[in-house]
Amino acid sequence: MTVLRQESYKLFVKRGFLFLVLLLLVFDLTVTAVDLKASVTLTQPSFLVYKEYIEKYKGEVTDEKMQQINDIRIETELIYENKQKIQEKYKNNSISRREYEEKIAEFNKYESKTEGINAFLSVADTAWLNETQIMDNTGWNVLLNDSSIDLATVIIVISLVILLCIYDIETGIDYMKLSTVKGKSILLKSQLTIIISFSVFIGLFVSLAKYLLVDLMYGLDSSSFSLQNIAGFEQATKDISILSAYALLGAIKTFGLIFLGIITFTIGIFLSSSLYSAFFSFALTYLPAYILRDKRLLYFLPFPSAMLIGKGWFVSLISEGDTYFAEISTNEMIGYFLLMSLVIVLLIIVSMRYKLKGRTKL
Amino acid sequence: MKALISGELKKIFSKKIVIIVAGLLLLINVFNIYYSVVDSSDYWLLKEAEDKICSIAEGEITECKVKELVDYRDKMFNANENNEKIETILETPLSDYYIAERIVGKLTAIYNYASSIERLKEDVLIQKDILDSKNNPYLIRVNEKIENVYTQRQITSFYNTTGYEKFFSYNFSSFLIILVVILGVSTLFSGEKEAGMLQLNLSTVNGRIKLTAAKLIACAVFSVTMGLLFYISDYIVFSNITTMNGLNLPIYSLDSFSYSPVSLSIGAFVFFTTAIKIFGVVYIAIIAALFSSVLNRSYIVLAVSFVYVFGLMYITAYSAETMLYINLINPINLLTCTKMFETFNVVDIFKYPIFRYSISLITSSFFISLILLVVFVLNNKSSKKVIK
Repeated sequence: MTVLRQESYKLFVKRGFLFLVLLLLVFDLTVTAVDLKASVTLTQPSFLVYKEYIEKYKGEVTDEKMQQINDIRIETELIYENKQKIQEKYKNNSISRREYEEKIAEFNKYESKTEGINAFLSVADTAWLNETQIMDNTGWNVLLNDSSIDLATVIIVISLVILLCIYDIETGIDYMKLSTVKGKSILLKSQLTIIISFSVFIGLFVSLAKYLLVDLMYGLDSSSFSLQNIAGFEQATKDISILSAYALLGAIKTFGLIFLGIITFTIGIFLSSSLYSAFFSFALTYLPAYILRDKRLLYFLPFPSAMLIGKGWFVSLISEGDTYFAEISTNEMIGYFLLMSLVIVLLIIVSMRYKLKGRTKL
Repeated sequence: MKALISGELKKIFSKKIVIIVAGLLLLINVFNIYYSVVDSSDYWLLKEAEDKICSIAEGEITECKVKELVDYRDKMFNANENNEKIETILETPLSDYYIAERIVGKLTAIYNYASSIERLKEDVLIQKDILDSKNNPYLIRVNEKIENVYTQRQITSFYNTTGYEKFFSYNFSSFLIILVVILGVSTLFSGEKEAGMLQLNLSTVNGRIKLTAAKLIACAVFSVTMGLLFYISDYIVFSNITTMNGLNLPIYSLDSFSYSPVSLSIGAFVFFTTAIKIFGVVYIAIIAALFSSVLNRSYIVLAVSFVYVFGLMYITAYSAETMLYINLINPINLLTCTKMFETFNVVDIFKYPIFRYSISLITSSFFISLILLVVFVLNNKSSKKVIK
């Protein structure tokens, strides 16, 4: 326990890891907030109107609801028609400029309202066509439809491993530590415990923080609705709610971070260089994601990329150029994660044996 | 000085791991190009058919050649309609018809290019009259520029240029070059600091300005070498697996560049854009060198450089227009410069429209000079400290 506490103190306080984590988390959440802001094209008043209508008609699209929605559509169209009529009257000199400006100003007051209503009508039409439910998926879209790898968490995990273990190996302190009584039995285990537990913490924390941020900014309603209600997941066959899918995605990404941590640890032990272990871990994470973007093969390779992207595990059809491949089934998912767990265990055993062998030689 | 530069170059190029990584990434790049272009099992068959049909009309555009191509298309269409058995390049007349139809479409666009440009210029003249009355000097100048740029444009020949479109839109190699360059440059100054050599080096006679200059020159040479290696390999692979005829055609004969502000030949455009891309690579390498001179640990230099590059990529992808002025100094825009030449893209500089690529090149050069100056000042300060 003392070794664990001392290693944690060395990492977080002495080597400034805590500061780095805070900095990268702020960066990460800012990017999410910017993404979210960019995805909402409506103005604040229009968005409030849109939300109000969504709240009123949320859920199954019934014939009765659709009738009411069509009435709203007719009313909105009527407003536009009246506006056009007034513009024409003004062009034909049937009304004075003052009269025209007064009436147009009145219409413009409704402009934000009609923008919000139009956005709502588009959601309702999509729900009607796809036989899904009416809901606001602005926030969920940002959280679930993101197919990029979270750079901040990747750098946090790689830095964690480097500052905790590789730095010591590179500077030679490691040999001194490993030749002590506690170093032999506890040190590597303590370091691995910190890598795994902090990866779990950062993975879950980032998922939760992003959830809270999006909820605070635009609200995350209808979390109990099925995943098929989110654009891009309409054809998904997995019977899962939106919230459960997000939680599972968080767990998958966390597993990906653990995998990344162990890969960095192994590379660092073999190459004894913080620069090269950072480079190769980074390349092994990003290159497969760039080369095999949207390809089913990515979800069967022993790289952290697929786990850190996450989205593809739930998408029904993965596009590969012009062709499409069936979604990754639950059994395939279970098989892959069991295999990856085995790979993690193997990497740990191999790197620990290599390291301890080096100490014995010393 | 020569000895210093060659010493620094040796340092970078003698790192086995950098050379291995460069080789591996080069291989990955070749495979990636191959698999992204050869995306179906009948790719070679389709390419051969396209080459054969294109050869009917290749060379100077004449009515006779156009007629021959149109006749071939109609012949295939009729054969398919009447279920006739005729000699075809692909398995069925319908497949031949689809390819011929596409080529006829391209040829028609090229044939009508001069008239479409004339229409554009007429629109500009009408606009100019309106703007003259509104007295907006900037927009008047923009219209004048459009008129000048698109004057005397015509395409007189037709060649199968399918490969160029793919070649110019391929940017993955730039990402790989960035990876290698950052790996190679990360240790430029910080590696010396880690080994405790920098203080020693800076305290020597040659250690102040000359050593810093040698390191920066070596960094630029390394980046240029990597850039050339990858971009030349891109060209070789693309020219082997796609059809890239008509190197002398003007760049605006390609679909995506029909309204390009430059009137270079395709061959000259390949050289020009490659040079800009390499300039972008050097720009990124100099930034990494700056990080290396500021930070003490190489892996931190690597991480910071990656965050910086990814941030720039993010800005390029999501806010190309909203962050226009930041994008003018963004090296990623230089690496993806072919995009800048697709349309008439000008920036308002004191009411004068200047081409975006010119501004990008000027501002980037200014920034590189500024970064170099900062690196020199930082190293000079450190050496003064050492001497004290």
